[in-house]
Amino acid sequence: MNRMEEYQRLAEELEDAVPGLEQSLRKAKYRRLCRNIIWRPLTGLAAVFALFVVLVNVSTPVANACSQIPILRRLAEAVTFHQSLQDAVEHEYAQVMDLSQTDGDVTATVEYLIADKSKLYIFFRIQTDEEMPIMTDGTVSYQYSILPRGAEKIQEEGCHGLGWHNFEVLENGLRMAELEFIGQARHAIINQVSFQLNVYAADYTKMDHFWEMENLGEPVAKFDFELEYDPDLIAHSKTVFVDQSFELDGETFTVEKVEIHPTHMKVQLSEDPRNTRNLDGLGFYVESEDGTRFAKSGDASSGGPWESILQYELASPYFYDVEGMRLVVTSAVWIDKEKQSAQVDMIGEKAESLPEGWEFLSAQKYSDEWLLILREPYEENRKEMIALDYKCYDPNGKEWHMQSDFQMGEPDAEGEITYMLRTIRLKGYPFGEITLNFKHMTRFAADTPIVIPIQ
Amino acid sequence: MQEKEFAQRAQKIRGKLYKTAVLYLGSHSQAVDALDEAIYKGLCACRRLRESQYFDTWLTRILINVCNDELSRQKRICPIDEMPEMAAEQFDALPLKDAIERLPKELREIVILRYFSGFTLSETAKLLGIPQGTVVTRQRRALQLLRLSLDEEVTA
Repeated sequence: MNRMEEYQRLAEELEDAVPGLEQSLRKAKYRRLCRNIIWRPLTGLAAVFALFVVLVNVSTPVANACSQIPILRRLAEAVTFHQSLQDAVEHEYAQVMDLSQTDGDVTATVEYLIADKSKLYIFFRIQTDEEMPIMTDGTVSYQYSILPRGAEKIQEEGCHGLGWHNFEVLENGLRMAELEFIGQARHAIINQVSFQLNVYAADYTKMDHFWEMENLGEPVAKFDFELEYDPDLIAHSKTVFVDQSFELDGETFTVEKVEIHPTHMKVQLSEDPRNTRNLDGLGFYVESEDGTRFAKSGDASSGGPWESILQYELASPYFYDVEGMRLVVTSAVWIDKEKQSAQVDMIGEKAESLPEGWEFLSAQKYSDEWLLILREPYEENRKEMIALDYKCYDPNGKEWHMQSDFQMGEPDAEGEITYMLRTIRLKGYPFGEITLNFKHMTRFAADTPIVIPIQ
Repeated sequence: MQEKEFAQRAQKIRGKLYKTAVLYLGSHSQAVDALDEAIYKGLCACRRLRESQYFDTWLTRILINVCNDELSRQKRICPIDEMPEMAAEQFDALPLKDAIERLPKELREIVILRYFSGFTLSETAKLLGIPQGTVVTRQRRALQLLRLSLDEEVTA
């Protein structure tokens, strides 16, 4: 064989031996994850885990074994419902906590935590000796520092009550508590919180109304976790000041700013005070130049004391390499500014001037609260509808806020559902009469979506 | 560069990477270990890579550094006297793979990158941080020693 033939043969042998990189990539991802974990404070199981991590970094056989350990797999499985949390976990933007406490027959384990400057997500598991339905509430408290210009550092404290709406039960038994930092706390790096958790033996599936969750009795177990996490792993967020106005169906809005956090994107809009109608909901999404869409994940919340400021939450582009982002508005639900009123005599069980299709069914007084039941017409995808306003008024004109929820009615002979049963709760209401307000709402779909450039 | 793109592009050039590592280190298992290390380092640093058109040379550079570190480590663990430079006719007697291993380091690198990993003259110069003219001179010398009649642009 001459040299050229040797060369060709050697080249072919090398070509045949080329391995795939799947294993290398998998090992690299876990190695990087282990490198991040090692800086966590060490307590209990975490100390053993950190030693394992050191071994991973120096020993190839152990490194191979690490690729089998589902460090974040349970979390990845649990957050598939939430695009941004899923993206965060895929990019290892999550911290392993692994802290357990036991109170009687109940063990709580805080397994993971995802934090950015705006939100904190705590992932935990509750195990009980006997299988029983449980519910949770609690608080999260923390301290942070702010440095006002030209002044000395100020130490502040924050405390959030976590009600039932702050918790969610995820896949594979993991539970999630979510809280949003507000005010000055959003500008600080908070890397230590006290998580106080109450566990109740209660089954929400057996409750008729959500307010029944207020009366869960005494907790069967209580826990206090001190959660300390790596501040270097709290990413800085980005704010894009847009300040672009647009007109939709004759009404004017301004896209004020867009905040991009690892866990979500927030779009803030303001309504022009000269608008003839208020906005109940806006149909829109954010899209990048390459067509990647970031959908809305939450309805509008008020941006503060000004009702004309609206904030919407969307999936975040934080982990994507996107350019040329734009906001695409497709539809809206308008509320007429004028409200329609109806007088309800709860003692006499009669009502006047209810909107067409609405019917007053009953009113019951329990201890210090009234429960009213109304029948409300229902039609899917109606262009126009009448909805009950949460503000109502007593005989003296004072404003009260009701709680209400609904149940779908029975299907008719054609299998169509044409009504809902609306239950109104008036807690602490001392009078026998009430004025209800109804708002007239209209759906609007834009023939051509309105596009507002963001970056 | 995002991780997904890193993974895709690394997979695309895995042939170049593997051949570079195996010819630098002389064994399949050491080459796989070096690949693992280079992929890990590349993954950690990929977000800082601004100009993705240089991805191939960038990742190969990381790999070459890993290979050189390994060779230095092997020398520290098991120091051997530097082999005397071989006379040209002695290369003839060796199988090609052994002859490549016995080339002086600066010539071996050129042969690996140009004629097995498939890098161009300009890419090789960038990878090694030397002028193209130097690459030409060295590859001519290496091919003479190996008795290989490979064209300037011929690659494996």
